[in-house]
Amino acid sequence: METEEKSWFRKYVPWVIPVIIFLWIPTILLYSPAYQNAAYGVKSWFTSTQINVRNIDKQILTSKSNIELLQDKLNNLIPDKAYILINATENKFVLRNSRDTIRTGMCSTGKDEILIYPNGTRKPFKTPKGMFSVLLKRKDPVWTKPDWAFIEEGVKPPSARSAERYDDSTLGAYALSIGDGYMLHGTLYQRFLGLPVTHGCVRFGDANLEAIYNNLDKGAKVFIY
Amino acid sequence: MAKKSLFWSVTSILVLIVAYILTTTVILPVATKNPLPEAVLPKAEVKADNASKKAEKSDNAWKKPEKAAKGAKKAENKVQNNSDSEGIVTNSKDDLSKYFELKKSENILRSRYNLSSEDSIYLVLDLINKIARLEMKGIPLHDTNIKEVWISNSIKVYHTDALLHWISQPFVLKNAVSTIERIQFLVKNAPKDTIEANKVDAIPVPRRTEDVYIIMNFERNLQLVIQQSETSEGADKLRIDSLKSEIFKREAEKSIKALSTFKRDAVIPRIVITLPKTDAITIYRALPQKLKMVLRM
Repeated sequence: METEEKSWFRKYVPWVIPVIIFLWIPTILLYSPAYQNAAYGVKSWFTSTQINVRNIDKQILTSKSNIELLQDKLNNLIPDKAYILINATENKFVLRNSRDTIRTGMCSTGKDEILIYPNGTRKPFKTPKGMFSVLLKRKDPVWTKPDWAFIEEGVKPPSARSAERYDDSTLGAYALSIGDGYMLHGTLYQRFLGLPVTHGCVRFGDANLEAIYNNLDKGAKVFIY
Repeated sequence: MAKKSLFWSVTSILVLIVAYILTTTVILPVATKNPLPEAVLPKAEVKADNASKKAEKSDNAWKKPEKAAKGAKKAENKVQNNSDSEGIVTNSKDDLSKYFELKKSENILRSRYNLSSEDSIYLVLDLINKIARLEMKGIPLHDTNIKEVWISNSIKVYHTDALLHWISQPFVLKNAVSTIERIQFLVKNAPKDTIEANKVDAIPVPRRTEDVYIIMNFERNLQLVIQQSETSEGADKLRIDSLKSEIFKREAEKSIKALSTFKRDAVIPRIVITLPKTDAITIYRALPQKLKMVLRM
């Protein structure tokens, strides 16, 4: 009985080796990036990663002075006056000057929506990204409503100079124009702050808007990302 | 007896097949291909390095003392000549690491300064301090702590100086694939009248953004993968898995094809960074199509 068992063991168990080798083949083909990565790891044991450098002391000194120079140049790029950073993904802002953070808080940016007019025209509502400057500062601003403001409410847009176009409550206490019709302004819908609900402008709460208006001069940088 | 010979023949054939596949898909590309095209040393330094290596080799060649002595003398003279003309000396480890660290800092500052003259947002990836930063005009816009970093061995294998050449210029994005869209527009028809307009929900429902997995392919053969630190579940996990499996399939196809052509490219060097989901989305959506990235590693 024992010999029979032994012979069975001797007969079949060695075949495990070719089976394992056979199963290894697809893994090499399927996971060649991992195999290559491991091979590079082995290669790195035999590769020297340091070489000698000519006049190293002199080069270290040159490099140090270059770093100082470049650091100064980069520091000079930071505006002396206050500027604002607006995160359009998280609907947050940071008001800064050259040294400190003056104020942080919530805002509302573009809702990333396309409105299709009855005549088929497509009007996208999104906040532009990049660097802008404050072109105009206004207290108690009056909003001249564009066509889309009427179309969105299911109303036919009135003539260009119609009194219906002027709205003195929607923009809040202050507005700072950054060009192309985009503004930083207040809102009647403070509960929506932190949500992307605007037509492209950036809305702020009353206290934040006042701080922004008081700190950002005409020409101040506005970074939207 | 017959079974024994069958066993040995099957095993040897399989071993040969495995050796062939390993050589074609792994050993040859790793040994012969340069995965970082611009990671090369300046010629003078390579020469000097080889000369000093030769000198070391000759010193160790104790088996043939006469030949070794001759070789060592020759190599020493060569190094001496190089040292005289080009100022080569044997540097201490401290000096070298200090020098390379300074050079890396200098490179990143120079690249940042050069990019500050452009009108678009760029990404500064500092793998030493584990910080991903969005910057524009030299002004840091958004800083994120990188939670985890994984770097391919094919990058690690390179000489520090060669790597410095590779990362000295900003990397320019060639293409990117992602599980999220850059801008997720919702299309809405204008209401016909005020009644229809009033039916629209007054309270906006914030849209949920899918989980993030981004693959960015840069010039100079670099692949940057940005993944979120939060674990994905359900449909999000499926979406990420399908993107990963697409890459997996492509690599497997290349390996299978290489069996007949005996020509397999080296796998693209990869850097994988893990960020919090919101930061990953912020970074991806802020970046321009022709993104430039400064890398410090």
